[in-house]
Amino acid sequence: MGKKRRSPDIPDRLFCDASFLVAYFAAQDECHSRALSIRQKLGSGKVVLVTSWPVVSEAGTLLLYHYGYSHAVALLRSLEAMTILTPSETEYHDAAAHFKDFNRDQKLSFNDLLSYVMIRGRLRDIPVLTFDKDFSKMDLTVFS
Amino acid sequence: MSQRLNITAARSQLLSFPEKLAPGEFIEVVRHGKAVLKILRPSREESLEGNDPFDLFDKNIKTLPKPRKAPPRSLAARYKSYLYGKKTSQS
Repeated sequence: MGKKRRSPDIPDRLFCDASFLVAYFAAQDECHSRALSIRQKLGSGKVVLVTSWPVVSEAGTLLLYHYGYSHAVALLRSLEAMTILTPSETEYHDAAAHFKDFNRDQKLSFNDLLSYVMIRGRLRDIPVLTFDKDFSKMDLTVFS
Repeated sequence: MSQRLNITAARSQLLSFPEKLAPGEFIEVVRHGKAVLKILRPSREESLEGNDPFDLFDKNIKTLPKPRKAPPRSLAARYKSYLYGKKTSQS
């Protein structure tokens, strides 16, 4: 009793893709304001952000190359705010299998398919924070 | 979903427990059918203790230099074209 209830539309856990992390950490990015709006929509204090080391690698390197060292370090200093998963060998092999299947008629990155495997598997279909349209192609739930 | 494992299975899967358990779930380790150990992941509310993960993001963003006046860039939405190049038709 007395605890604030979240809207049923707001998920408990969300998977952060590299595009969301880049947008959030770079005020110069055209998706930055959308990233801030999503944060506002989520409210405060009750959401768990999940990502993976390959996503951190991608986002950190993009920030370094395109927005500079300070932005990349700001992301790395924020890692403890997220649950960061290490893909298992089985998940890498599953991603490789999906890479062969999906990419007969599409072009999806290996990293995205690795995220797909983790989200569909151990993360039980949690929604994704992303500005990358490829996630919709994989039939994942995108939170926006 | 909570699970029961015997000691041999628990030992081989020990390192994967944090990723296998959702908040509030537990694994019971059994020996000769009796529970000898219960490994519990705290519920989300317990583990968060009211912290907003975005607060740490914002704290670190505040340390960044102010961006120069320039048109916004479309890196986040189009980063794959920067990384991998333009998508081509199927060969």
